[in-house]
Amino acid sequence: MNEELLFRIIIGGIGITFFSIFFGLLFKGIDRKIAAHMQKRIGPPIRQPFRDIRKLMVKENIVPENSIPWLFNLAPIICLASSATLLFYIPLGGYEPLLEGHGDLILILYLLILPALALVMGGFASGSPYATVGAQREMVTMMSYEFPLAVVIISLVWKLSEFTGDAFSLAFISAHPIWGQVGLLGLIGAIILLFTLVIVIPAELSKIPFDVSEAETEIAGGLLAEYSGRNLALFYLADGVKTFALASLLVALFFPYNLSEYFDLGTYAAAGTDFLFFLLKVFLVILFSVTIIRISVARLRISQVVSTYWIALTLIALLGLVLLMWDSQVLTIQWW
Amino acid sequence: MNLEEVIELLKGMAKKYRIQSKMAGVKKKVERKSLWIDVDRDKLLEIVQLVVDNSTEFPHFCVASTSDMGETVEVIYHFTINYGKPLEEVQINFKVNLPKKDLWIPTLTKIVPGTIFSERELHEMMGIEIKGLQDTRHLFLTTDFPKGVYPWRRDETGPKNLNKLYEGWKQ
Amino acid sequence: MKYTVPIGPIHPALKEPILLSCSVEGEKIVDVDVTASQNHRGIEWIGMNRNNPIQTLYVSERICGICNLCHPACLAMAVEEAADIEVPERAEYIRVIQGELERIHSHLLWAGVAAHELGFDTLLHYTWMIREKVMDILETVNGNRVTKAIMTYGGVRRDITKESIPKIQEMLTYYDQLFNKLAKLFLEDKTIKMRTRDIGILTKKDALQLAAAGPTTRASGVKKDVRQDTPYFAYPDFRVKALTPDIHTGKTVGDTYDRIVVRLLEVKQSVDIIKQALENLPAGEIISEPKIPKILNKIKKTSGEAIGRHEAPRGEDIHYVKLKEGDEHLYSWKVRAPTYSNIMSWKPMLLNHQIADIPIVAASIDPCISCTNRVIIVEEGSEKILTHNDLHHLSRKKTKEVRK
Repeated sequence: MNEELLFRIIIGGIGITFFSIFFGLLFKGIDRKIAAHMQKRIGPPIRQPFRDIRKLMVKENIVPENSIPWLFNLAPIICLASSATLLFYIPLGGYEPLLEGHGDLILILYLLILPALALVMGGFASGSPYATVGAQREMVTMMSYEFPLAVVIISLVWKLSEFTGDAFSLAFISAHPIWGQVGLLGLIGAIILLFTLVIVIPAELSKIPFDVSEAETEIAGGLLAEYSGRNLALFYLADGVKTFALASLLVALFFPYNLSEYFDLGTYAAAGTDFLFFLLKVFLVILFSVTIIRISVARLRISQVVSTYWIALTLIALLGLVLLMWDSQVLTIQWW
Repeated sequence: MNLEEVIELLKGMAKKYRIQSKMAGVKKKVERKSLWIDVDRDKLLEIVQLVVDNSTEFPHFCVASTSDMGETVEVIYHFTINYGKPLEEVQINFKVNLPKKDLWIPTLTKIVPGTIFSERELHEMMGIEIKGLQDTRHLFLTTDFPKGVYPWRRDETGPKNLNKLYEGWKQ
Repeated sequence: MKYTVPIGPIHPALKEPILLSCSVEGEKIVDVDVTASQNHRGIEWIGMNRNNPIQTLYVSERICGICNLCHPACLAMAVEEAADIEVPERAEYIRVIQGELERIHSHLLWAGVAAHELGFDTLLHYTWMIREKVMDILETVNGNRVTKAIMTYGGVRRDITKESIPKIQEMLTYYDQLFNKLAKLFLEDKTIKMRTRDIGILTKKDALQLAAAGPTTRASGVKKDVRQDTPYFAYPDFRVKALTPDIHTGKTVGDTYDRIVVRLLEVKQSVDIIKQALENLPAGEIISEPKIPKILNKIKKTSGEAIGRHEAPRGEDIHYVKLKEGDEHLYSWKVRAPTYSNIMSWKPMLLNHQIADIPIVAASIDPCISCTNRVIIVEEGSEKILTHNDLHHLSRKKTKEVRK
């Protein structure tokens, strides 16, 4: 058993990492192209992020004099590694997660902190006032969006804990989609929770309107101001992988349906259809939570970001939780 | 106050004054006048305070310009009052003549805070000492500009050998 | 714990080099210091010691890229008053039209830059797409998209031909229809309001005492406009009024939002002025003395001093000129660009704000640092000083190449 597990980890791990890098960059390119067309421009071709990575890899890697070199160089590696590790626990393409049984939703919540923490470490180790300000802002942003995220996760799990089985495991959640388990009140509650998660995603990925930590015009690039060459390429890759991972998480939590159940197909055709359907769902999530929001509003200040998450979004998420709770009470009363 | 009232008010303190005018406009012709008043250095603060006190809104300070006339240095302060009402603005220019041997002028920043940039520029470009000015850093010239060289002068302290002005310059 | 965040000299928020050192505690700004000595070019010295007045006119145009009509306009006004040179009527109208075209161009460019500072790139691309229309007209009338080279002593250098008038009128109708949409996009957007309302307030008292000029001071409620107070060129015919934000929104706060309002209203005003000017354009010559050596001789023989003031898109621009008989150069020449006075108002506007507000507040006074930083020393890389003949030769050669 141990050898099989080891085999799965190594081969599956390498496979998933390359798969996620490829699709992460591809979706990044599609996002840029659609944003450009919405702004009445033509925009770069879809394979532009791949060219960006190739260019960054051959450029000189400058380590500033004022920085702490080992921390400065370690931060991008930790960021990429932890983003890729996220994907071991999320069901992809209709299959079970790679390390099923060894990690669940609580572990994912903790793993989501690691890439942001690596960014902050890199920012503080850069030794430049712009990076310091950017790192401070990233810490504050991190503290703000964790609360609504936790409320969403807890509400879903609480609702599904009525069934037997480990409610925190993602395979279990995927097997029992939330929409089939709730009545009218719960439906509204679940939609509210979906909306909250869609708004939390731009803050995790540092996109407008919540990208105060990487503001280009204010602090000249913020956290990433001193990074160049191979280190910057690693951060860029980590951003793509994190986008893909978060979108897959949302799909796994709320839309884990598979298309092949409705058609009679052979095994390979079924697997292919499931996979393509999964990619389509991920693309739709990225479109709505990253692209459309990114080009329609201006950037908010840090105090406005904090008040948006702590006050507005937390109240909305708590409302969703309360609605889900009432839903099961109402269903059990059976007042007809 | 219009032009005549200003002249009445300031006539006592000025050495001499003159009015310069030019026509403007095509279908409707107007006359644009400007008032040039010569003042002594000791009366400068008083006369500016008089203008500030007697105008309906705070006077608008444009700039302080200066010329090197050989033995003396001429400093002109350009003000305008009565803006806001069409065709009623009065352009006032106070001219002060300073001897080069005794080159100082009192600061106007306490009465008109907007003069600070002009006075710093006068100090670095012409070498005039502004009595009472706290902030005498260079405004437009760099900090390693050679001391004693005043760019707007036409005598021996003017800039010569422009290519060799900064140390360490290559040809 | 206090530390200093330097904005500049090279920073994505600034379009030209200037150093703005902000001392911050956490995210709150407690002190602001401006150091303007980053890039000087020695233009006044060139005018006083090296060039004859016609060459000085071209050098003054290069003071800034965007405000390239206001400096030659002020210089021409001042020399014409000192030397008593007449200007024909058609030239005065053409000067007004060119000045208002420059104002539309500059305000649209500023609107895009302000949107970019806020992180709202969609508005940047949209506004600059609209700006292309006025640049096409500038190219039709002047031959060049940005730098006009149209002023000279005694008139203008190029005429507005009959063929270009319908094109200008088409551009005016295009902007008339678009104005409401532009106002709605900028002024009713929720995130822009969140970022600009009550940010960077300049009280009326500060605006008066620091002698600010242009839309910066009009947004605080001070009705200062050179076209209204001491009109010049053909402006007495148009009865221009200074625009303050309470015309559109009903109240004057003096913050960044009000400055956006004032600039958008001025675009509308400029469109109306150009329409009126085109209807009443008188026929006639465009320059009173076409032979340049005669003008130079006249200037050489006069003695006198004068000031010229013009309402540039950024504020009031003033030049002081002193001429001495027998001297081929201008004896004294002082340029005060509008940004020179507006920079002093950065300090009261930025105190107690966050770092995130620095770019939009700094951009809201529409700084044109190249207009400010142009004092004395010529930084010449090469040894040879070009004489008058060399410059004349070079410019004739270039004109031949351009004409082909």
